Amino acid sequence: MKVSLNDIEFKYPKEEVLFKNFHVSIKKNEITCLLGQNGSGKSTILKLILGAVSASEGSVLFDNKKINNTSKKSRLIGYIPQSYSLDGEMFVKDIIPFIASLHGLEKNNIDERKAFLEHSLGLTPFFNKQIKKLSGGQKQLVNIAIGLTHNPEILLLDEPFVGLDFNVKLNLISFLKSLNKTIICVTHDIDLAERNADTIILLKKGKILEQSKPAALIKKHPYITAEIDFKEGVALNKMIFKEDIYVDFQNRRATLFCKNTSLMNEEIERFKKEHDEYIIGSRVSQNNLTSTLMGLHNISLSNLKREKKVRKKKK
Amino acid sequence: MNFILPGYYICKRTWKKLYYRPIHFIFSFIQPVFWLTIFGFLFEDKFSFSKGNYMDYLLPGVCAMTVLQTSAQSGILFIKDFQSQFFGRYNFTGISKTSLLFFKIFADYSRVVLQVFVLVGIGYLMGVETIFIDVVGFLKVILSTFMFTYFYASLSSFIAIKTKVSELMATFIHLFNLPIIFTSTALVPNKNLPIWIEQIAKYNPLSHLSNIIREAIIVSNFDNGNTTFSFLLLGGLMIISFFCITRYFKTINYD
Repeated sequence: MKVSLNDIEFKYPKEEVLFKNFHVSIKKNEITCLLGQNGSGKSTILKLILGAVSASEGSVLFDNKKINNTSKKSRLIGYIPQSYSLDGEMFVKDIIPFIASLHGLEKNNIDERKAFLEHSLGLTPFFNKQIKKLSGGQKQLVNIAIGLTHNPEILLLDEPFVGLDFNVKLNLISFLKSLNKTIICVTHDIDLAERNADTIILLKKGKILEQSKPAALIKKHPYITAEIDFKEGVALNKMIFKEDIYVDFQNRRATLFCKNTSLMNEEIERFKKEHDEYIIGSRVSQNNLTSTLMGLHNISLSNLKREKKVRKKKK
Repeated sequence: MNFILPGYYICKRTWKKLYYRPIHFIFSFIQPVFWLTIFGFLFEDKFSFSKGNYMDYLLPGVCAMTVLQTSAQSGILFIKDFQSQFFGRYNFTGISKTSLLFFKIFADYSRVVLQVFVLVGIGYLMGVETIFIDVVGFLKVILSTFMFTYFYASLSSFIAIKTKVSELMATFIHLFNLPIIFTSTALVPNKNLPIWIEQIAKYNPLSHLSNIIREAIIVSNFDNGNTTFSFLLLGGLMIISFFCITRYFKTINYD
């Protein structure tokens, strides 16, 4: 099912406007990852789709139709929140049918879904346990199972893989992919997004910086990242802005972003000349989504600061 | 949407908690047994009845007090659900708030009915020999406890949903329950109450519940007043209380 947010205007009480004339269209049966810093509006997009918050203007459409009926909408959407939100006293085997029944599933469907989720998500080893006795990762699996109890067409995932073992995470991703549903996932795991997302939406302060396939995004912004680690006592500016290169210095580590390899090498050499006695080591990573996103984010930050400086000078 | 199945699962959730932690259920009989033992012995000869004795009079009152205590705690699960953020889950299901509240209280009501009949058994073992329950008596107990539970559990749920704080819930229970008990005819017959308390007892819902249960399960000649009026009063309170809390429930966000 295609989901689109049209002309959305939204603000939280006592806060600045987050979305103004906001448009986004999420394709059917694709995995779309929402990336961006805290406060960029990622989780709010999920809440708007869910109907947990309402926009003052605009509409949320499902296959180009507006759905106002809460019950209908809840049948369409499966939401997996960031926090576990579980009743610790309940048993895993009980919580799935409990939530499924609240979604209005019939008894035979409930039993079917319960068995399916138990086996697909690997819940069997702790299926008869009380939730409060589970590990964080196991709780997260139960959390995911609850979101899937009613076999929704759209899945909204808010940091779904936090606390999961590497193997469990991989199995879970391939399981979610096999469901062939519209999945909208908020994550800070850029590597995961690069490997699995069909589309990436990069948000910043309620605006879409980019929306494209991971490979296309990397191709469009082929940033290279370099990191130089320093000993204690080194004196550097916190941020350095140069033409086509950006350097961030934090915790005795300089992070450089640029699109040009030779420019990057020149800059590293300059660092080595000027601060040779302080340098512990350096490494360069070729263009991947992490360097692209970091480059995009920091370059836009440096542009903002440059603009401010220019404005100040003009004044 | 089928309402019976979610209702069954909402009740099952409460029943399972009771099953896996029976200590709460067992402990709920300790206080009533204390009331029966201590008050039974203390006031054994204080009150005179043309037929029956004080224990016969006391047992239905203690049953009614147990209904009050259990109903007062009905909101606690809501508070726990708020604290664990489990309450927010209801946001994303199709269940209506009215159904949710109705079945949540129904689960507590089923517990209340069980408690009442276990207490009647305990009373019998403690020497109350005038117990007689026919079908009409049984239905009267079922109906009156239903009305009282929905009335008082709605109030308790309102406090829980409004405050979301367990300490305030405990304050509500302590602040209201004891005055309600001591201004009712649950423990002391109407004619033995001071005049000002007698006036309050006339309209105290606990008095009416006690009177209905007394008439329904005890073969004695107590002054139980007009039980038709008692049913009407409890029914009215139940409708008002449940209607108001449902209205309020609909205005709030689960988060």
